[in-house]
Amino acid sequence: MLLAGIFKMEKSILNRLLQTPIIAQSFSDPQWDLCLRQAQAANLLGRLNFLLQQHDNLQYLPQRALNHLAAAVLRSNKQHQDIRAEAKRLSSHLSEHGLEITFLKGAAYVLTGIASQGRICSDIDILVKKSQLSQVERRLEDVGWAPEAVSDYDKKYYRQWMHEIPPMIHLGRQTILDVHHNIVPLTAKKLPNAHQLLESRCATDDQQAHYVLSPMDMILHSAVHLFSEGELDKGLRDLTDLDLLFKYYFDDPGLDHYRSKQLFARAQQLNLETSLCYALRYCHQVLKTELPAHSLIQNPNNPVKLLILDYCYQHTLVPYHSSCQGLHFELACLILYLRSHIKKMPLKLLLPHLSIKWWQRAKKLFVVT
Amino acid sequence: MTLILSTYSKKEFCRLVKTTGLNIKIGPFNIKLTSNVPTFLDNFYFLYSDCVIVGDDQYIDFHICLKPPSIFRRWYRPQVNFFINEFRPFKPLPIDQTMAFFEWGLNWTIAQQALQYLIIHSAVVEKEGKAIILPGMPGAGKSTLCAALVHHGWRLLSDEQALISQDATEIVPLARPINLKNQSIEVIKEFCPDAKFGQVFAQTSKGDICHVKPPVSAIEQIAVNAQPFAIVFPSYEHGLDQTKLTTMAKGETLIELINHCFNYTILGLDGFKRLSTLVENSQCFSLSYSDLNSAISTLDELY
Repeated sequence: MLLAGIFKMEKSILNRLLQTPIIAQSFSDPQWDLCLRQAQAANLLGRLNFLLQQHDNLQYLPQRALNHLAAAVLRSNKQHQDIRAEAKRLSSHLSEHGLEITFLKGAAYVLTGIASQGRICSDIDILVKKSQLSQVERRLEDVGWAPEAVSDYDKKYYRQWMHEIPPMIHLGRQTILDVHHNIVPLTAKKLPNAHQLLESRCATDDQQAHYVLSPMDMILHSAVHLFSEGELDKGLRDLTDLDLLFKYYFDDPGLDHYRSKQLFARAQQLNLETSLCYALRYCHQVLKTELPAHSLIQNPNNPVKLLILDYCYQHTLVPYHSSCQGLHFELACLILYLRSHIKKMPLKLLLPHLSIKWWQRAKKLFVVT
Repeated sequence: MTLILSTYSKKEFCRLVKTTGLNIKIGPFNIKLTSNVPTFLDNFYFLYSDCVIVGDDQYIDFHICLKPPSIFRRWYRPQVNFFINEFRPFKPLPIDQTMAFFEWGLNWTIAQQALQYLIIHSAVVEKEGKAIILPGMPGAGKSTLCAALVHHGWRLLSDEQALISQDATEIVPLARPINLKNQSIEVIKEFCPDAKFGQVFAQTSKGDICHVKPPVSAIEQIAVNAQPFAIVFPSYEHGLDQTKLTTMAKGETLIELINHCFNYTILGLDGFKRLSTLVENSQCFSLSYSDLNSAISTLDELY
């Protein structure tokens, strides 16, 4: 009895729906209720609407659930509008000074319409040439962007080891901007060459041309981001991004084999083939996505390590909602947290870093408000 | 037969709220409430006693939970947190303000999430099926006027939020407690002897606060929508000797109303269309008053 309580069944009704859309037909009202709450916790409410629509499943929802989904779509549409406006301001201001920026992740999805369905973004990410970084920073400060308040330790840490500078915030509009000069931390063992990413960037085809990574690089960036991340509260959302990016890239069955090969070659060139393999593996395991490139995966790890990762990702690529969190979830989170840190930095850097971070957290916990 | 909250004994109600949660219908929304804060349970049981209980087989719009942050903070300067679907949008408040916190939290939740409605920050009262919208900045006396009206023959639709339907031809009742502040508490106690008052919460961030229980009639007719009839911007002016009702131009009213909307921007063009239809179909006034009796009879004359 007690054991059963500790190993409480972790069940994500949302994951089941994403895998097998047809089960929507038999959901009861309370099941929809739970499903939408899980989707909200996973930041997937707006996207859920599109996925249900795609399979013609919206008809099975009670009116109340439809209201919540419609609201989520309105919120994400509004956010996309804001992102496009912000992107326009950023690109045109910086290009006046001869500085070029490339949009990454959420902002890039919104600007290209790839994987933008119902996407919620908490910030805007851009990639710049490292040699232009300080110039970009100065020019941004001219128009109301300021570094967000972070501790001195964090500031130093960002500058020394990270692939981005401390987040900037627009003082008027409160938008958050992450300025990157690479897509993985500088401490990583295998660093992709940022120049190669920028060389193959693409312009969006709307009137206001913005730069984004090529569709292949978007996949690889999304993959390396998700599978080196230590906290997966947005993991399931990121996995659905990958799913949509893959489907966009493999849009022509006749070219599947050619494109698979190209994608793997690109991944090798950028030192990101492990992340690509994980992306394909877990899109298939968690979302049951059928992908042509699947057959090309050469499992990069030893089987034991892969078994552990399977366990971890199956239990953490779920909504961060109490109904999906049990002991397996906690354990998987801990393993991934430690793994991400060990991967990011050598132990002699990691131990002092973690002790300082934990001390900072502990101090916050005891401050009486 | 529909089950209402007061069918449960207080003990049974408390057991439910503390364990599985209580499903209750507030306005058009199904809410599941979970809490273990005793004073809040007392107040809620009193203020919402006429509301309908919702079955376990229903879709719940908002899962709301009010609980102290930690065991430690239950003893030392106790606090309470507001969770909506496990998300905590606000910092904790002192535990004795839990009732007010629930009301503010629910206002916020509705404004953020119920985007099927255009929502105006205003009181709404109804007579003969026709609704008067009373938008007002804090301190304009909209809640005081609203409390006075609903105890003098008008039906309470809402004290805080006007829910405008999809085609802007109907206003959907919310009928939640009326939130009175500072001096207006005494004014209404005197003016409406039959009004039922909850506990007074002294010195919240908005001053002293007291909730007036919605009249039973308002809850009984909760499913009956009202048609927009007039938009009246009230302003209480101390010592004014005559109530003044001034016609406002439609354009001016529209622009003024935009400032009172919670979700106008996010609704985009649809928001503008709804608001213009609403203004088009309503008489528009501003009302300066200091005497409640004369304000009420002025509004009566509109019919």
